Order: sequence, then structure tokens, then C-alpha cells
Amino acid sequence: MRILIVDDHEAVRAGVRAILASRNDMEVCGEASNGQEAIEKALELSPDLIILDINMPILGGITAAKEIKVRLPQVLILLFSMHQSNQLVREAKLLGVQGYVNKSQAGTMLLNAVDAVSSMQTFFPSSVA
Amino acid sequence: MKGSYDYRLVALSVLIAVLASYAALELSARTTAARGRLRLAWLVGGAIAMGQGIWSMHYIGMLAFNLPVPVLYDWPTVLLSLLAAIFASAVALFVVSRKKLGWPRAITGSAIMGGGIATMHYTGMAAMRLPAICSYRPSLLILSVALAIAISLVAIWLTFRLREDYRTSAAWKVACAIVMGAAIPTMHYTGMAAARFAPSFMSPDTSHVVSTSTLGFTGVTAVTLLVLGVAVLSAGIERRFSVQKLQLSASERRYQLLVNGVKDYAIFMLTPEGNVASWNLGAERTKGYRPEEIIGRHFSCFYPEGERSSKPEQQLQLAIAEGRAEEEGWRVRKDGSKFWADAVITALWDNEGHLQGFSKVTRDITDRKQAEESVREVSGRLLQIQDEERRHFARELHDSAGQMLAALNMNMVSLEAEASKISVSAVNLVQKNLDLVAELSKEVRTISHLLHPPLLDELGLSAAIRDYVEGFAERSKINTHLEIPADFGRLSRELETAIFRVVQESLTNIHRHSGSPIARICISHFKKTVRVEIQDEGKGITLEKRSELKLGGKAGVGIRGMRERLRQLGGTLEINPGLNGLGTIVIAQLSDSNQNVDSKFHRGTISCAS
Repeated sequence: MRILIVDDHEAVRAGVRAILASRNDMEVCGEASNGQEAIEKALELSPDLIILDINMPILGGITAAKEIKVRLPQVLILLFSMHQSNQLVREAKLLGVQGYVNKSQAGTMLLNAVDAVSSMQTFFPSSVA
Repeated sequence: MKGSYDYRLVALSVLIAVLASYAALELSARTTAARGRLRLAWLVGGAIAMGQGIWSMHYIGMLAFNLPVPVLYDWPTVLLSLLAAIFASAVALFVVSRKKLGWPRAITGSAIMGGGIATMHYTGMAAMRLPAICSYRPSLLILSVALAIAISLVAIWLTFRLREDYRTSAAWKVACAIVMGAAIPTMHYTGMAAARFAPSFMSPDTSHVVSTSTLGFTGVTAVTLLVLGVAVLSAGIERRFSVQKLQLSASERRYQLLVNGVKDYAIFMLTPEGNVASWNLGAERTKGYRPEEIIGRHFSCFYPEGERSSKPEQQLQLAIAEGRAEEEGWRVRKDGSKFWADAVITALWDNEGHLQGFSKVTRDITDRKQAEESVREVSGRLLQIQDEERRHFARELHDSAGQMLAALNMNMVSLEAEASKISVSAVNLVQKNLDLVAELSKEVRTISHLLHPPLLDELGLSAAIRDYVEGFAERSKINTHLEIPADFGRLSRELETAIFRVVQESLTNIHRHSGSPIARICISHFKKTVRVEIQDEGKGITLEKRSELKLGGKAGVGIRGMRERLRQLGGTLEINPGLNGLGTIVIAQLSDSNQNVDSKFHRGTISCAS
């Protein structure tokens, strides 16, 4: 599974990379630091999955997701955010992305989410406090 | 031939002279005070009365002189001497009633007056018809004429000094009248002393003669006293009237000086119809019109174009109904520039309750208004800056610290796998660190959310408010309904923040103060207006509290903050009782000047029951 990591923080991208490194079936094919770059990289690399941060400069993850959904309908998207909000989860579902992972729980949740999404399931937190 | 005097008649002549002098003083004062036709009337009437007095003094003095022969008088000549006396009096009154009295004028006047009196005297002598020839000693004749002129000069000078009655005491006047009255007979008796009578046997021309009977002298005395009395009396009445008038006009003048001198306030009068009737210096400075340009014009020209037709009349009606009408508003100067005025119109009634007009006091308080505006502007700016700063801190916390904590969490998880290769205690340590990181993340998130609504920037108002409302319903157990169009769209950051804060503040108030079990929020965006209504069914706000809120003075920081935030963006805030008199409704309206014109009016309703 080829994965594109999109986050404006270098440290976060490194963290994600480290987590994914424990798995042989997952390969990080590229990184981007904002929505605009994400769209370009996605078109260039055609990854299987994009781990997409929401809150980024230049172009946010939500807008980028919409654009990517139009141009690459088959790509899987996992939204990745600091926000803990039912509203945001609802928005994400409406957007048609496959999953949502809270960054502060990424250590434990990210691999589960990636696994779920890659087996064509969705992954959303049931309820957020 | 020697004559003798009847001293009783001499005394009477002196008394009449004193009376005539007193009359002269009064008459001169009246002539001085009067204007136009009235002045002419006083001059003519006064001259007749005074002339009559001087003449009768002379006539009685003649009667006091007894000759051993019968004396008759030629009446046309007697009449001529009376005219001479009246002429002399007229000259005297004319001279003393002028504004100024220089030496040339005083001397000319006294020469004419003295000449007139001397003429009167010697014409009167010439009227005598007796069997004797009258001749004069030149030295005494000249002395008598000189005395007449000198006495006239003194009389004119004294009278001129005393003519303004409000400055002169009555005692002074009487004293002067006695001096003058004593002086006039001096001339007469000097003239008499100049005359010598030689007996003649030629019978005099007795056509047109009258005899000096007792009746004649009583009549002359009576008429003289009557004329002088009437003159003095009428002069006295007129004087009292004129003194009052003078005092009145003096106080009016002082008042006018006071009003006219005021520079900082426009003070003017209006007729009952609203036309300008007076204009002070302050009015001229404030409004730019000179008195002659504005007096007589309707005061509506001070109001801005759009208010002219109704506002001025409303203000007058209010002043009539309530006594006064105070208002702050824009006014227009002559040059078209505007100023912010504080104006008070007061209705003026006379004792019978008839409307006499209005007084209007206007003050230019543009400076104060501007100061208030700038304070408001500054506080609005401060709120914006505060919002901006909070937003910045929230972002810093959320984005930098939060992201690093997320990275730390992921790294710890990776480390956990490695630690399992070392020892159990290493794994435990990593897990403890993971717990700490999780706790820290939560802390950071809470602070950041308090500082700035999460999601507002990323997802916009609709999502952020839904999120907030959900949380609010859960915390407060208040059944909260939110109505907001599904495609509400995005607004400018300032507008979104302001609306979010209004909703947040209102919900907090409902939670803290209203006791309401439910809250309703309705946000609509129609044409270019965003309207936010937040309603509860709690105990509501009392009338007094509401008027306090309206004035803004004692309103809570929260409400004032909301209001200023909205004002800054050109919006308004209303706080009213709820629809059925139940609870409170807060209405905020904002105009969205830039975008989202095509936002349709779909209403997606999300009910957030607790």
C-alpha cells in the first residue's frame, strides 16, 4: 500500500512515518506540507491512501480532499486532525472520505485506521467527548 | 416823580420766578428725553408755559410798582412782550435739550435768551400808558441787559447739568430753581431802577388800553400758576414714566449684553411660528449666519435636508406639550458644513397663557461626540485585537504545541515497540509518558478552545456553532435548538467571530441568569443581511434592567462587548422581551458587504437535545 503523508509539521510527518515503518506492507511514497502540494503530489504519485491533515496553511485539508475526490475518485483518504468534534466527523463523512483519526490518539489508532480503510471499511470515532 | 413798591407783590413775583424756573428744569428734562414729534410738543408747550411764567413775573413786578399817576397798558404791546418771553424760553429749551453743550453754543443761547428777556422787559415798559415821560439811565440799562444774559447763561448751564432726572435728586432741583428764580427778578428790578419818570401833561395814546385792576392781576397770577402747575405736573408724570422706561431699558440692555456676549452657546428666540427673532454672537459663531441674514427666517434651515420637513415642527410641538424639547443631532451651518449639536427649545408663555415664542439654546458638541466616537472606536478595536490575539494564541497552542504532542505520542508508540525488546520497566516508563502526553494534549486543547472557537477558521460558522451548541446542550442540560441554513457559506473572519461570540455570550447568559429550560438560535442570511436571534423562555429582563442595557452604562461587560463588536462591523444588537412576553430575545443584525449573495435560504435544522 503506497501512502502519501500530508501535514504541515515535519515532526508529525516523522511520527507517522515511524509508526508506518513497523509494517512491511505499507510504503510511504511521498510527503506534502499543505493542501495545494497534496493535490499536486497525489496527481503525480497516484497513491493508494492519503493521510491528510485538516489544518494547514495555503490550502486546508477539507478543500484539498474535495478536489482530490473529484480528480482521483479511487484514492482512499484518511483525515488526520487535532480537532475532536462530532461536527467535524460529520463533515468528513459528508465529504466522502474513508476515515478520521484524531492526532492525539494517532499512536494507537493510526494503524487500525489504515488497516480498516485499506480493507474497504470506513474508520470513524464513534463518539468524541 | 418817584414810585414805590408793594413788597407783597414783589414777593409774589419772585415766587412766580422760582416756580417758572422749576418748570423750566422739568420741561428741559422732558424735552431732552423725548424724540420726534413728542419732543417738538414738549418744546412748544414748555416754551409757552415758561414764557408765560417769566412774563407774568415781569407783569406782577410792574404792578408792584406804584406811581402817583394812573397807569394804563397798551395791550398789543403787552402781547408782543409775552411773545418775546416765549421766544426766549423756546431758545433756552432748545439749547439745553441738545446732546452736547459747548461754550459757543451756551454763550449764543444765553445771549439770545437774555436778549429776549430784556426785550420782553422793555417792550412791557413801552406798553405803559401814563401822563409821564419815561427815560432810562444808560448805565443801569446796560447792566440790566448784561444781567439778563448772565442769568440766562447760569440758567442754561444749570439746567443742562440737571436735565437727566434719574441722576438728580429733587432737593438739588429745588435749590437750583430758587437760585434761578431769585436771579430773574434781579434783572427786572435793575431795569426798573434804570427807568425815570418825568411828569408830562400830554395825555397818552389811550387807544387799545387796559387798566390794571385787581381782577387783572388776580387773573394773571391764577392763569400763570395754573399753566405752570399743569406743566410741572405733566412733566412729573411723564418723568416717572420715563424713569421706569429707562430703568427697564437699562435692565434689558444689560440682559442683551449678557446674551449677546455669550460666544460658546447659540442663544436665540423664535416666534410662535418658528421664525428667528433674535440672534447672539454665539449663534453667529456656531451657525455662521449674520443677524441680518437670519432674523425672520424659519429655523428649519438649521436642520439637515432630510429632516427639515417634519423634525423642526415636531420639536416645537414637543416644547409646547412638555415645556422644553432637548435633542442631540446633526445641524447645518450656513456654509453647508455639519456639526453635532445639543439643542434645547423652551416654550415661552405670557401671564395669560398665550404662547409668545420659543427660546433656543444650541451648543456645538462635535468635539465631545468625536471623543465619544473615538473611545468607542478604540474599545471596538481593542476587542478586535483581543480576538485576533486569542485566535493567534489558540492557533499556536493547537497547531504547534498540539502537533508536537501528537508527534510525541506517535514517537512514544514507536518507542514502546522498541522498549519491549529491552525490559518490562522500560515499557512501563514509555506507557507512563504516553499517559502524560495524552493529558497534556487534552489540556492544550481545552485552553485553545477557550481562547478561540475550534473549527471556526477551518469549517466556518455553521459547523463551529453546531459544535459549540452541542457541547453547550450537554454541559448545561438546556434543550438547545439551532436553525441555520445548510449552505450558510463562509463570511469574513471578523463577521464569523463576532456572530460566534454573540451566540456564545447569549447562551452563557441564558445558562447563568434565565433559568430557561430551552434555548433557540436562528441564524439566517438573506440578501446581504445576517440576522441572529437567540431566544429563551426564562424569567426575562426587567424594564429597568433593559433601559440600563440600552443606555449601555451599567450593561455587563459581555453585553457591551457584543454591542461594540457588532457596532465595529456596522451591526446592531437588540435585547427585547420574548414573543409572548416570555423570556428574552437577543437580535443581532449585520450586513455582509462582500460575498455570499447567492446563498439560498434552505433551512437545515439540527436539534441538539440534551
